This record gives sequence, structure tokens and C-alpha cells, in this order.
Amino acid sequence: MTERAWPKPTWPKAYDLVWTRFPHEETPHEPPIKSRPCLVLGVFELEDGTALLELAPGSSQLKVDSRPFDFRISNYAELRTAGLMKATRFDLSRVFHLPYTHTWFAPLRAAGKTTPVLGALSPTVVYMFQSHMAWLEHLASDQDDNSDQA
Amino acid sequence: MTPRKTLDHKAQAQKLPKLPEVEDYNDIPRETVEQLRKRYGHLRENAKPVSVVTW
Repeated sequence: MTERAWPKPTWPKAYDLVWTRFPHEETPHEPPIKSRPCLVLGVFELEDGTALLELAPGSSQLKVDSRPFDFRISNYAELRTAGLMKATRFDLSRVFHLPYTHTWFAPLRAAGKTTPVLGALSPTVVYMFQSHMAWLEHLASDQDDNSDQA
Repeated sequence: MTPRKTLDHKAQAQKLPKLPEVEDYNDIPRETVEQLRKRYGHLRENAKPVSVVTW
């Protein structure tokens, strides 16, 4: 891998929030310029000893009505613990992977961070997230059962 | 029963640390996600899990 990787002591854990640099919408192949928080769903070690992250992207457009199956954090205390700056919806239909490199991840200097990790979900929010995922899985199995009967 | 104390929301809110200001971050276009999946998704195949969410 030619991109400069973040060293292992800086790797996030599942349920952490990371500050992710994204390509501009109109120029996806150009170097990334726009940043946003992502929820870490998984951390994987590649053969070269660097990390690959599985991420759910955050959006400050909450879309409570139109995106009922995404996961949201809006409580002030929980935002502080997670290191988030705005109420945030995590899009669970657009999960993807990125190598944990300086190309894609940067510290949020405005928040005094020295690594891309912003914070972590509190145990309460982890429980809410796990309940939410179990609910989605239940809905998906119902959907499969109904399509089998149709 | 002892009456519950009421919080002065306005006064107490001023004492809380302000969240850092950042621009709004809108939804990522589906096309961008697809590009990233094509570019990096295959790396997951031989990668070793270190930490993953469970439910």
C-alpha cells in the first residue's frame, strides 16, 4: 500500500467515531477534501500490517421520517462522549471499507484531536445500537418469510 | 413528598462546553460509496478481524 498508514497504537475500535475525509461528490477520483464523522463497525488487519475500517457514514441531515432504519445520536451528553459536533444519522445502507491512512482520515484539530478518533459510543448508546441492529435483522427475516409465502 | 428542584436551563446551558463548530455534512452520494466499495471492498476478503460490532 503506498498511502501512509496510521500506526497501530492509533487504530480505533468498533463503536468509535472517526473523522473521515471524503472525495468531493463531483470528482470522486480527486484527493478527498470534505470531512465527516463515520461510525466504526469493524477494524481489520491487512497482510501488510495496516488497518482496514468498516464504516457507516454520518450525515447531519437527520431525515427522521424518510430514513427510519438508520441510527441517530442527538442527545448533548452522548454527542460529547462520541466526539460529535452535530446531531448525526449513520446511514446503515451505505456501509463501506477504507484503509486507515492519512489520505482518508485526519485529526479534527478544531476539537484538539491528534488522531482521527473523535470519541466512542457510551455503553448506553452501544446497547441502543445493538437493539437497533437486532430490530433490523428481525425485520429482514420477516421480509424473507413473507416473500417465501408469496 | 419533597418538591423536585427545577433546572434553570438557560443559565446552566451557558456553563456547558460548546461543541466544536463544523460545517454540515450531508449524505454521501450512492455513486461515491459504490466507487469506494469497488476500490477497497475486496481488501476485506483476506483481512483479519481485530474489533467488530456485535448484536
